Order: sequence, then structure tokens, then C-alpha cells
Amino acid sequence: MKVFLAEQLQKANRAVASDNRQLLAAHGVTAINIIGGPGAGKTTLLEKTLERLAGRVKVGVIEGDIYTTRDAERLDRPGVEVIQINTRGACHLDANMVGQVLGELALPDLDLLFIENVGNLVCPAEFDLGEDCKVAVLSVAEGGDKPAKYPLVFHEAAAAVLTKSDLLPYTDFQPEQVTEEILGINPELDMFLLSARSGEGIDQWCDWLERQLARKGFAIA
Amino acid sequence: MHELALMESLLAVVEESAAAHGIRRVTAARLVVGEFTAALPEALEFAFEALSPGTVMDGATLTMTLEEAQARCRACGHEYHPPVYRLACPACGGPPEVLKGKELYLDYYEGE
Repeated sequence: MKVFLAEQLQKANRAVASDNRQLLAAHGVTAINIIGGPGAGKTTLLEKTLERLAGRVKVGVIEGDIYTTRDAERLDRPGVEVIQINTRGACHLDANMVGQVLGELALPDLDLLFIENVGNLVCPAEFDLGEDCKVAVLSVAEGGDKPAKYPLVFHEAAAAVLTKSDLLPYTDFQPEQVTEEILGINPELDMFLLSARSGEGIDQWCDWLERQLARKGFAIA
Repeated sequence: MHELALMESLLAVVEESAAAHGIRRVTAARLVVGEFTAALPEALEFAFEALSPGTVMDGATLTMTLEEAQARCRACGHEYHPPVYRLACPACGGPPEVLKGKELYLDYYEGE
């Protein structure tokens, strides 16, 4: 007997991701999955972003790391709910991990949820968490050759953020060239070159975030 | 990537399905692996060999069909086989609709 299944190998994760997506949508929360290698500047970008959005957008953060609560402690501040997930070995967050903590957030009070994934440019690309979109983060100190080496995350993302632009004078990184290469991988990516330290480019990034919120009918007061 | 975990899920699904259909021994199965997934056929095979003994799929022949990526340009309609590091349309640079290459599923299994 032959049994046709068409069974997705990722079915279990997709099912939970779908539940997460529904829960977030029910509360009108926009969720963004932030993906980048270790040290790309994900947490620093979020620190700056939280500063800029304070008082205007209600933000929550799910912070994923293998160990420590260091990142959650950095982002913790009045008006922002932060939950740390320690995977204790898993190299990426999965929908189940996120699903387990979603209930701890005051979702009715949130507009925007950042999910900062484990520092890893490989595996997180393959795991739907139930987010609205993925954002790929690459610093100018990590080498302009990285996009072609790690294309899958750029396939999946809605935006790519090149961070630490203040370090450009000390690197060989060619932002125009790298941008062109990234857009060759995925022409629909919205691109950003910024520095959380200097503030350069942060406005454009926050404008983009507001446009994502507007898709769910949110308007900044 | 994570082929062991993927294979574990697959074995569990087939175990359950086989029980429901009264199949006691699976003889063959076909897996479809898209070119753009991060699942390596060799690693999937290795995971299958490591995990299938003692399960309903013990001794089954697992065939893997590699699905080559295919895209259609949303701007000019051109159809092409994109390399993984460049999805943009080779004719006009436009955005792709990825038609094939992201699949990762068990198509069917057979047994008695």
C-alpha cells in the first residue's frame, strides 16, 4: 500500500508558528524577528530603537540567547516588557520557545514586539516564529563577503540593516557594493546603513518600523 | 541543518500514519528536498540510517528527490533557475516569485 502524505518536515514548527501568528494578530501586535551573527549589533540597535520609540510606540522584546540574561538586562527599562529565553545550546529560537513565552507578555498593551534571535546568520533563517517579517543585521566590521556566503537569511528577510557605519573608516567594507550584492540576492529588501552609536540612519530605520506598524492599522499619536 | 530533528519528526509521523493504515513495515519512501532549503540530502540520509532501526521504517529504501530552484520574474515574466546567491531576474533585475526550491516534505511511503 502506498500512502501519500505530502508531510512537511517542518510541520510541527509551522503549526506552532501559525498559532503564534494568530495570537499576535488578534492583539494587533507587529512582530519582527531580528537575525544576525554574534556581535552584529542587534541588541545595540534595539537599545537605540527603544530610545527613539519611547512614549510613541508600546514595545516588547523577546530576547534569545544560548546563555545569560545580559541582553535582556540591557533592554529592560520602564515601559518596555522584556523576556529572556535561554536556549542552553539550541542555535536558534523556534516557534515553540516563542509560543511558550508569548502568554507572559501583556499583548493587548503592545504595538510592536521585537524577537531578537540567537546570534547566528545560518539557522534562524529556516525557523518561522510567527513573526510579521525577518530583518537581517550585518555590521560593516563583519566583511562584505558575508551576504553571498549566507544567502538564505537574505532570501527570507523584508529588510537588511548594515550596522556600525561609524566604523567604516577603519574597514574595507564598501557599502554601495555590498548593498548591490544584497539586492541581487533579494531585490525586494529594504536596505539601511546606520550607526546606533552615532545615530546616523536611525531615523530612516524607525520610519520603516512605523510603516510596518501602519500595515496593522497602527498610527503614531 | 538539524537533519536529525527533521528525521525524528518524519519517523514519528510515518509511525503514526502506518499504524492508522495497518501497515507494519514500510518498504520505501520518497522525500522531496528543495535546492534552497538548508537540509542536506546526505545528512538526511545519514540521519535516516541512524534513527530508523527499530522503527516501522527499519530497512526501508528512502529516495530523495532534489527539487531544482525555479523562479519567475514578477516584473518581466522571465522564468529562470536562480543561483542561491542571486534571486534577482537575470533579464531585468526584477523581483522573483520563487516557484520551486523551498520544498522539504515526505511525498509518500509504501509498505505492507
